[in-house]
Amino acid sequence: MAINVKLQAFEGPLDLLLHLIEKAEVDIYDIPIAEITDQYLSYINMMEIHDLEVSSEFLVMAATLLEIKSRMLLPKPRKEDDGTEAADPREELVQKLIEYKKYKEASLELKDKLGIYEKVFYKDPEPIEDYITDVTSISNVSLDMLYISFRNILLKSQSKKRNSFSEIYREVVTVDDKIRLISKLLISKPSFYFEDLFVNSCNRYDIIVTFLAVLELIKRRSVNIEQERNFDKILIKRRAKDA
Amino acid sequence: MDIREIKSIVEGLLFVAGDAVPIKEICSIINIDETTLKRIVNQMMDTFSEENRGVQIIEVNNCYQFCTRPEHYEYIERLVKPQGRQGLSQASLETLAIIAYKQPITKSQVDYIRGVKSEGCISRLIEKGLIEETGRMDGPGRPILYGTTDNFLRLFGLKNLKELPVLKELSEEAGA
Repeated sequence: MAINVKLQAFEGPLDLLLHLIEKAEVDIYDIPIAEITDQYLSYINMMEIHDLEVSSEFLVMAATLLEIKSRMLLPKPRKEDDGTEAADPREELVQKLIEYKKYKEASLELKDKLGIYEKVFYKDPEPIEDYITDVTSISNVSLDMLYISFRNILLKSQSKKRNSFSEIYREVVTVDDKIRLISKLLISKPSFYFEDLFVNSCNRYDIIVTFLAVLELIKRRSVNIEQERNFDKILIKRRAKDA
Repeated sequence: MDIREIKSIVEGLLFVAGDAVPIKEICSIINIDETTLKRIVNQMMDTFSEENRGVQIIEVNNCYQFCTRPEHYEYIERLVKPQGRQGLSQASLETLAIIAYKQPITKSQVDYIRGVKSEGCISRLIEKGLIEETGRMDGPGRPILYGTTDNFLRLFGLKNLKELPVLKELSEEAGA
């Protein structure tokens, strides 16, 4: 029997079965199992011809259909002792189909609703805790305060500028300059203390350069120095020419 | 406090929160009872739609939230350029429907109803924030139970799960 099933994607064997039953326009409670089984199997064959992946679920359903079909062929057992009729071999499948159909229809109804509410936008939730701390930290602020703090910042940056200015401006003193100064002093007086050299100014750089000058003079054997103990005053003495 | 004041406070609260605000929380902030609040907010909802305002108030799972109007989708879309709002496949919709109606439900129970494996669909639905794990079933293997999220309710415009469309019982149809 030639059937003309358009190859469409089915969600699963139940979906396919429902489609076949609807197409055949038969009562779901009285499925012509032989006919439907044939159609089902030919659909699976078509899937194979078209190289579609036939998942195992489809094959399981095929086996189930064949089993039901063969059980339908068997003579019906006599009525049971208590008078109830023997269960229809299709019963379980029918129940499953009905259950599935119920949700398939519900999903279509949901889909309609989705169409509307998919087009609605929501704001992202605000981090409300952040909000609160932010608000407290800027409360009690007036425009005046903003102006005052801005002015303070400007003043600070100006005074900073001046500081850095004086630091950049420094005397460049060389060891040679200091040697000349010490030698000159030693001409006028025979000895003086190292610290006397820094009566007017006293910066670290100056002290270091002067100290280097003293060391240089000692090396050249131009001066003698005396120091009673560690960290005591250093006395710089003129060296006798003859020594 | 008069009703107008309450209305504007509610509007402010919803604006700041952005997210859904539980009705109970609003009640305790304004210090009024739930019935009164619900009545007032219902009035607000009516006013908003009568005046065709750009935002509307929706109720989701006992919370109120602002959202835009679906009619304005194409304009707002130009502003926000949503990144590929992908629709749900039929398979995912089926899975979602089964979980919505039968929750809490395990994966294998979903598989049984659909007659196919639903693993992929379930993980996609979780990714989209429409379903979530709600616990584990007492039983062999303690399988994961799934249920729908508030996001699901929002996306389908439902106040709560009771608003799901009534399942059509086939037996009734057949009997008619």
